[in-house]
Amino acid sequence: MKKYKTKRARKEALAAYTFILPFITGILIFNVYAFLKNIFISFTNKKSFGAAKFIGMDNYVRLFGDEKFYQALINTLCYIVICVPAIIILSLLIALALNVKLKGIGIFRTLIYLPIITLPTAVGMVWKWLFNNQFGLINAVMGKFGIQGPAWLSDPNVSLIAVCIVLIWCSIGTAVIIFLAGLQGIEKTYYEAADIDGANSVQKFLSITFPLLSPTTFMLIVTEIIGFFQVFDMIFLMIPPTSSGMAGARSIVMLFYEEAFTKFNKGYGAAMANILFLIILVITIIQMKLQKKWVYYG
Amino acid sequence: MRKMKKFAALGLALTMIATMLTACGGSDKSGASNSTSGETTSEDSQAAQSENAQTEAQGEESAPAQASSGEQVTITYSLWDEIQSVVYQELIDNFEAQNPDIHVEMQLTPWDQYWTKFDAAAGANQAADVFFMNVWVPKYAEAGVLEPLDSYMERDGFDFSLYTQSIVDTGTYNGVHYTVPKGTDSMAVAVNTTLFEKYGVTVPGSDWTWDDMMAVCRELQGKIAEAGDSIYPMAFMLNSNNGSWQPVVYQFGGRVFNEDGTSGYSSEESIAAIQALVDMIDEKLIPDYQMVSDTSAEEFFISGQACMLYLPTFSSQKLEQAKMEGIELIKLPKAKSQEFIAGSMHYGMNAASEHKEEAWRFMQYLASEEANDIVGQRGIDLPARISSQSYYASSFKQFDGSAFVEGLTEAVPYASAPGYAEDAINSITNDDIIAIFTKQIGVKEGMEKMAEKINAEIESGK
Repeated sequence: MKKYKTKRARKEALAAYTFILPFITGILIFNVYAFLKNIFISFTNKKSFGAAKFIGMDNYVRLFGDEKFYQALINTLCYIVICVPAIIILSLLIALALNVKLKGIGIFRTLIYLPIITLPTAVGMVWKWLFNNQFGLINAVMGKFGIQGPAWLSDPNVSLIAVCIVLIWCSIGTAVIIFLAGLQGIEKTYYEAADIDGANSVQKFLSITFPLLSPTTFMLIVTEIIGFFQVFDMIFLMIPPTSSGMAGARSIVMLFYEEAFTKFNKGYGAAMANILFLIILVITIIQMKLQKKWVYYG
Repeated sequence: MRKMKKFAALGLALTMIATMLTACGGSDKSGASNSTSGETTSEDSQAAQSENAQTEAQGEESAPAQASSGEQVTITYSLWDEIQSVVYQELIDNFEAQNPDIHVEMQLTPWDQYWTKFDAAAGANQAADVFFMNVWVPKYAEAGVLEPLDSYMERDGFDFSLYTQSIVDTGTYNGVHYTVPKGTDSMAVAVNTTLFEKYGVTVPGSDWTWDDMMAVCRELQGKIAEAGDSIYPMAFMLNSNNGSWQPVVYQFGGRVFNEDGTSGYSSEESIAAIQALVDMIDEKLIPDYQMVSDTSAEEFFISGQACMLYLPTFSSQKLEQAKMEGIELIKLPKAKSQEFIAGSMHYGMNAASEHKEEAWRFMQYLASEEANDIVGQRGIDLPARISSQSYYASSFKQFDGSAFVEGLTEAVPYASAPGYAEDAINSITNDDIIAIFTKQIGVKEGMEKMAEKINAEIESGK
């Protein structure tokens, strides 16, 4: 622990710690304690009631032999591979388009952000109807062009794509705002210098905008990947557990929910949550290492 | 002066902690004691202060609830159904008028969260005093959550013969009565007579067989094709186990659980039942699994896209609310029998309740003729009390519900394995039954796989 030189500095530090104490207490109880307890539960056969028996590594052994877990893992990776690049590229393009001084640009910026302030439940319910096989708007429009639309949410080969569409639609808004903030933090003088040197807009983007935006991009990629490892709400809202589309769309957290809260296999669910934590930890560490290769901090 | 400010801040911070702790304890006393901790200006160590705040908070938590001096006791009552809650508020008002010393507080939790919340609350002995219980009695009886009711029932002469037997059976575990019967599911086939007239097909009667049903379906299919329409003769809610395929398993003589507690899915009868449904999908007599995942079977029927529907009571309000004309209900067709598996609803008492006598009085009222009559008249549930069931049959404006009541004699109590909520057992096999209906696996192979999985799960839980 760092030593404080003067009595006064010590007192100030004490006051500061006191101020963060309520917050820290909350984190200790609801995050740290819950996390440690979860590790403990994963070694037991805990159900809803009754004393849990310590069963060692059984939950983990069962997990690695569970084809449903691998399927859910593959599905989760599909969500990441499809959604994260799509969100980054689309939101960067939109942010570039919105980063101009035009009359009424505020309206467009608001519209882009609208999905974020919409209740996820409402988003899920509306998209569920849009995707409906018989009465949905999407298939009706496709039908007008002579295309037989798929059973978006109940065909296991398509359901993941359908969920991805909704997730991309409702995640872009935040990314656009963050990119916009990043773009507006870039000094105009760089572009003026580039203009004098006769650079075209592609060169300007590649040599100025992208490098100076890389910390923003990096932060977004890291948080989006973590977020998509935990994808759950839209799947839960749009696809009922007994739908034929569930097998194709089930993510790890969805499987965790089914195990821990419909089958009440709390121990097994805890093991799954821990493995998910490890996967996210490893992926994030790799990203932090790799950032040296491409992120430019000015 | 500066020092004063700093200590005031310290005090405030501690107040926040104290508030947080008391909030966690669930005590809703006023902040009077908290403000005293804010005034503390002792120059002693901070640790002593925070300890002080904590003991204060704990003291509050463990202080006995201020019992009003025997004036009025409040009991809590939890349920999951919003439609039913309106009627239950009416029943509670009646009960409170008759029992001014008891106040009943209703807690409504939607079905999707009811059991998650209930399990958490019951684990902490915080569940409501009286609650809706369904067919998962063995799980909660074994866990000691449900109060055994035999002593109350014997003392007050509770007469079981007044209630439908299958419901009483579901509420009994190892010979002990754990619940007061509330209501039951029943099944019937809903017929859209307008469509039958249009295609010139005779509406079948209640004494029909599975083969008759197939014949009617095929006849309809032919007439529909002739008329150039593209609707289905029938619809099954294949994605609802107890609304479609499990009842069919019973009609064919199969069982969800054998008498020895093992899965009954691998029996010849059960396989034949599922095969019969798969055949109907193949012949395009009913919408396939994907279609009913997207658009429920009820919606197919309501929108005139299906001429008949396997209808459980728990979906009947949808037909009623759609204001459909020309619906007729007939009994399920006879395969080997007209039996079906029927879920039921119960009232349970919390074994950890502090007001058991009051809770029991409320349960007695809920089981009374008056309460059952009201439940039946409002059509929210097919009441358990036999004398009240005819009210339910006539509670629908759009159709006559008699077939539901007549069918009750064929109801078989819902099967549940000890230690397992039935839904847990069902969710183990969700993916497999989907695979069967979507033809990813053969019927026999799939059913054997389901039985194997369930048996392994029951074995591991022992």
